[in-house]
Amino acid sequence: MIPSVELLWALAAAALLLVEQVRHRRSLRHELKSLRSSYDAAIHRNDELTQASDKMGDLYRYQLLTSRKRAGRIKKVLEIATSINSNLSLDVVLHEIVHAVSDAAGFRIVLLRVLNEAGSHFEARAFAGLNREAIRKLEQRSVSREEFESWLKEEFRVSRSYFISHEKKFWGEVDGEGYTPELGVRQEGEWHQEDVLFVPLYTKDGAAIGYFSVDDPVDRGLPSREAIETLEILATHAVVAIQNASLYERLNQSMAQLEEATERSEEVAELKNKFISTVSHELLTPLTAIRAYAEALLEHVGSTTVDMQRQFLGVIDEQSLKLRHLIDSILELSQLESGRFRMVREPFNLTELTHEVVSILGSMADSKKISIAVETVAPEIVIEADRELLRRVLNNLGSNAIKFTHEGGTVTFRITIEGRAVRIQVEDTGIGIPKEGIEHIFDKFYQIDSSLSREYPGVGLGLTISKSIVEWHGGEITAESESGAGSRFTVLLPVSPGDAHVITHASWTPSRSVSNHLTRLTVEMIAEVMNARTASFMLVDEERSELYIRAARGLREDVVCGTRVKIGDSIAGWVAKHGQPLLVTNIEEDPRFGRPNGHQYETKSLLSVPVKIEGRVVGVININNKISCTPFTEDDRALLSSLADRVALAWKRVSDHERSSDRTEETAKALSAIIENARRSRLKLNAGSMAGRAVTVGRKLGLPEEDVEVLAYVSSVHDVGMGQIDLSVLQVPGQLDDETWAKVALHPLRSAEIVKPIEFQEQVTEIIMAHHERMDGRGYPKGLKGNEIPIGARIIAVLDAYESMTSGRPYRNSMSHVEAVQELRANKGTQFDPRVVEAFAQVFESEENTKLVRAGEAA
Amino acid sequence: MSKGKILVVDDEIYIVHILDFSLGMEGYEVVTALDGEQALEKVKTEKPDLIVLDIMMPKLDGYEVCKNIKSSAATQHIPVILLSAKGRNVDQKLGFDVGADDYITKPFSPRKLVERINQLLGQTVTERPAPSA
Repeated sequence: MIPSVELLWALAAAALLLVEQVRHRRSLRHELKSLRSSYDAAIHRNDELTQASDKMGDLYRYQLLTSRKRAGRIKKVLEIATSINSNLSLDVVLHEIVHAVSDAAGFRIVLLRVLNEAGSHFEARAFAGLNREAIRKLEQRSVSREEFESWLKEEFRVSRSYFISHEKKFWGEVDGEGYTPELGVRQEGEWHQEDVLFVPLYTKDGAAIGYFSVDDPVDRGLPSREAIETLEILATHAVVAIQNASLYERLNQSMAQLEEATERSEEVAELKNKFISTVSHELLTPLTAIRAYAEALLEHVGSTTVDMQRQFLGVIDEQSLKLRHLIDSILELSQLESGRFRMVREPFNLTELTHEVVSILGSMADSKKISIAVETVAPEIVIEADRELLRRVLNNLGSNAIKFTHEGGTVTFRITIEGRAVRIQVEDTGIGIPKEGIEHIFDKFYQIDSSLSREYPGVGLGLTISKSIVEWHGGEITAESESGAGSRFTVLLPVSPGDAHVITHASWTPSRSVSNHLTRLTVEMIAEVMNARTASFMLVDEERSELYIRAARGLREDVVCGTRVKIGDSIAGWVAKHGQPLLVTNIEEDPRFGRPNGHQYETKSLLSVPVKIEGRVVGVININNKISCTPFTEDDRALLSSLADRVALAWKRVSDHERSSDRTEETAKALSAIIENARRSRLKLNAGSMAGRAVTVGRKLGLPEEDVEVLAYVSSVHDVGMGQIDLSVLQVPGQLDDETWAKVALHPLRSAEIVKPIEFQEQVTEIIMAHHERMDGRGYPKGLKGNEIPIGARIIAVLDAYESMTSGRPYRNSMSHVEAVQELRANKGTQFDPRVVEAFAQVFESEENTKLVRAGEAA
Repeated sequence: MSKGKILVVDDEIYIVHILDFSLGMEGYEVVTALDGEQALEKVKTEKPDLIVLDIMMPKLDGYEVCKNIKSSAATQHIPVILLSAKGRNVDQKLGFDVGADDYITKPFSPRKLVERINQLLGQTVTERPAPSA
């Protein structure tokens, strides 16, 4: 049957379809599966993307935030750097800078050190990310310039910064900056807690004025080039900011100084006005009386008795005398104050002058039945001063004492000697000075009470004049009194102009290691050796970067205690800053000199040298008012520089051995011997000319400058040992006996021993030891020959011989310059070095030099 | 018969003496004071008709004394002549500001001072209402 075939086809087709369908479904399923997995993958990726994008967003937001903050900081730094803002102190500026560095470069810890004004040390000035304890430690430690420079090694350099990896083991035991953050567990290639990155702050001319050092990076990584560049850009701005701020600070200081000066000049102007109106009032008062009495007399001549007329004329006479006296006093005072007078200093007997004054005052005292006496330690006290001016002082003090003492009282003049000063006291049993009056007693026209001035007439200028006279002599005058119990005026006067006493700074504290006594000797030694009336020793106050006077001779106490000089300012400040000596021939023409200081400076020349210990300026020595009244020269500079070196050494040794009183004593002995020697040699030779000649000859022979300085010094001290020898042995004409000769022969050795505590150059000892050696080996003490004798000693031998020949000794007549040079030439080769003799002859042969030498002979 | 009572104030005794003399010769009664405080005392006790007053004096200066006199109802009618060595315009102006009636500079002519006093007292006498008439 046919339908069954059709069924079969139908069945087959259905089976095929089924198979096909099954296959399709299979592939569909497969497809679906793969679709599903890619979907899954897609979903997964999407998550990832979202996550990533979220992360990106956060990061972006963070960066936006920090960069805004950062931008703000940087903007502020830029503002600070470029503008001078009156409200910003340097500390505020520095604070902003370190925080900007921290934010912008991504370091949690930032330290900024700035070079101090003296230029010697870097001080910690600003911090970020450090606790108080760490800050305190950093502030206590300053980094010396040398130490800082030792870090700047090429191997550490990155761009303009320096990265010192802990791996370099550079710091060794010592941690360079002394702070170590706890960074926790560290991965390979991360920042190590002992790594140091620092960026010097260079000015335009390449000088480092400070540096940043940074630590604990936010990203924990080693510093990237970018971070370093950021740091360096900020460093450039920091330099500008620091410079601006310090400029501004200095500007402020100058402004303050200017204001002070203006104020002072206004004060002076006011004082001047006040003075003029007081003077005119004082002058008009007697004139008014004269005029009124004269007119009244004229008008009423007919209606008055002779007695009355006589009384009127008496007033006129008295008042004209007063007027005359007043005018004289005012003129005298104005001359004293302006310095337009000639002071004639000559030696005279003070005891004698006092007796003279007292005998003149006698009649005045007698009329009041006042006993007047002189008490003196010696009948002859010779001082070098202006006799007439001192007579004025004694007369004024004496007549005041009598004036203010009741009948039957006593007035006593008492003279005592105190070292190189005399003390004159004028004491009375009078009415005394009230407490409130004592500080004005030396003021112009001051009178205790005008009701008293009727009883005790006077013009009120006497004490002012006396004070001025005493100060011109380098002395001081003081008054003590108790109301009703009498007064005592004390005048302290240097025996000779060179002896103005050394005053030490009152506020000095013993912790600064060198005693007042030693300081005084130091100043004394400098003044004596340099033949300067005025000498001061200033020390550096590091904290305030100022100089103050530690001790001075020839300056008033208020000047000694009140003077402070900024490092860099005026002459001493310049010297301290640059560490170089400065010779000023005319202070009035030198811009560095602040203001001329009245009568402190009798001559216009001054010399200032630094005192350095281990290369650091610790003080400055200034001298002026040369006793000869001539300007200082390059020779003086050489001598003072070498003295300053000794002073530095002595101070260092003494302060290093603070507890060793031996050291102090030895130093004091050396200084005293040099002082004595200088005083002795001033008696036989013109001031400083020995050192001067030594320098001239040394230079002529082409010695290096250091040797010339040594020579200047040695020529001033080589005979200190002579002080140990009884000089009377040299007064005996003829040959010295063996014993005396032995003593004399030992003096080079003694000299060398004495200066040893302040000596550091072998050379000096060698020269001192050999200055009596002869070229032919017949000298003493060692019998050295020719070139075995140091050149310095050969020079000094010639100068010594010349000096003794031309100045004459008790046992030998003096020779002229020409004769002396002939004698030197005759002995060249045997006693003297021919080269030295010729150099000496040449430099002093020219007419001008001969004159100079002659001038030396005359003095 | 006194022409009137005059208080002379000056710390310079010679000036006080000569004014005492000159004014006495003119017929005035003279009382004196040597400083500012004394002057105010005397103004109260002596009730002078006119005051000659120095400026630079201890304790209380002439300006103060004058101001004091001119600010008190009891004494402001008394004419005050300032007599001073302070000769600048500002000094004079200050004198008139504190109420002085005249300002004469030292050195002065006693004759002229007396004339000025006569003038001032003449005026004030006529200006002043008669006490009893």
